[in-house]
Amino acid sequence: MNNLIQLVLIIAVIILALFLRVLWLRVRPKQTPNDDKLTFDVVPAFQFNGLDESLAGQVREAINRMGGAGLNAEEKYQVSLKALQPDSTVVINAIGDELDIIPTSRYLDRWSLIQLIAELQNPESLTLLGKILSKPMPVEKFKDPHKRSSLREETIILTTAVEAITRIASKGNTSALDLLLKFTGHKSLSVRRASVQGYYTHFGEGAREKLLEVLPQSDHYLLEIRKTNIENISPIRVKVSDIPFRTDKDVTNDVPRFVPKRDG
Amino acid sequence: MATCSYSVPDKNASGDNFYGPFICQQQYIDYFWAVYGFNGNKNYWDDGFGWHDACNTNKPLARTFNACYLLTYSADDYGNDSYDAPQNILQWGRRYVRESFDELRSFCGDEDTVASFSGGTTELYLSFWYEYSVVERAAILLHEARHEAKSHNATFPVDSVFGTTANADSNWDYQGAWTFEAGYLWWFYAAGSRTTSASRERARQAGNVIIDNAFATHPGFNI
Repeated sequence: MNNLIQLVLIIAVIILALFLRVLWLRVRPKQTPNDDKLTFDVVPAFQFNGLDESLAGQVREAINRMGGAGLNAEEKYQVSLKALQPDSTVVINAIGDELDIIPTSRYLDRWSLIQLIAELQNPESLTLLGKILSKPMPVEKFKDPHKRSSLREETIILTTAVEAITRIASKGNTSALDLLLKFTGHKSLSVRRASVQGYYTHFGEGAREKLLEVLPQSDHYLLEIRKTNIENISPIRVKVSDIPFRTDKDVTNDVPRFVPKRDG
Repeated sequence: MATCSYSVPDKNASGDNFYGPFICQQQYIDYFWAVYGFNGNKNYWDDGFGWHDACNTNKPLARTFNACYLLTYSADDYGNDSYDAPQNILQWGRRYVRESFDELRSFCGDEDTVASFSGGTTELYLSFWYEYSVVERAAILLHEARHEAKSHNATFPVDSVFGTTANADSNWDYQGAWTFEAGYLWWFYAAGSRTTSASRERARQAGNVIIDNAFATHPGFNI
């Protein structure tokens, strides 16, 4: 009898050890090699083949300054935009040409071209913006879009195109308003949402009724999505239990003093 | 071992050209290295990733430092990183990343992933440095840090740009990684200091795409 009990206990211990081993293999941090090598080259972000070098340089400057930092970042950015205003139609045409040749995978750079159009607020850009928004949505390029999504990047570009139209619409341009109404039927939810909001804000009296006529029933809820300030929603919060207890890290809050600087 | 290469566009809108001169001071480099998980991981940041060239913003290390700098100093009163209200994620976000990250490592990665988090270790891959603006990188660090406390708990809505898997958050109040990422972008848009209207607009557009696509139930508001 004792031998039987011992045998059962030994088998139980072996099973438990195997179970713990399987559990450990599943939860342990991934052990990956640490000798990856990276090489790179630097390429011009934009060609702007149709522009003389001086104007091309000004356009590059304005785009570069979108990412400015420092006390005078916004001031310098606005100066760079103002310099383009006298030639804004030429610039917009050049952006159209650039979009035809820039690799689609350069999402941030493509976005910045649309953002520049939005800043110029020139009604001559409506044709190009309409063309961009009318193209079929591309197919997702990556295997698991949760981890990396090409459609996320394409959507940011498209909603910025809607923003560009909305800025022109805000000045009462009826062609811009017509475009916004058209794109309330876009395949992308975010484009539909942005177009609805833009139209609703700037059409004036009767906007809601017009949108209810045009939108399918399934999209009527888009009218209820409210553009708001972050102070008006439930705050993002952290609980004490969220913070891991770590003994192997010397964590300090002795942050270096920041000295505000002007760039350039 | 993997070898990867990248063509880095110069003078684009990412912000690296401008944050670079700011981070290139020893007290910042020392601070970021100590608190954001780099310490002990030199082997992951050499071989072209920037260890020997920490101010070169064409390389991943400096680009990560740029995100750390933005994360650390974008609030006006950056020194106050208390989690208690009325402080917001623009203020305590840097503390949250600091306290959640144990190890911060760089890899070539496969082309299908931007960043990952597991058991205190965050891994960054090629697209993190070269396809996102500085503010988006900071927001991604917060997304990954949030996974220390919370996994995703829902399936993406129909036609989400993030696919069909169970890696959405149920709603805004779940306070998961998507809320943290979109919330940081939103606060940067609303109150980010020493930046441009274009960077803030980028944050707004990126945040709105998350709000529209990453929650099983749409929050009902946007930026």
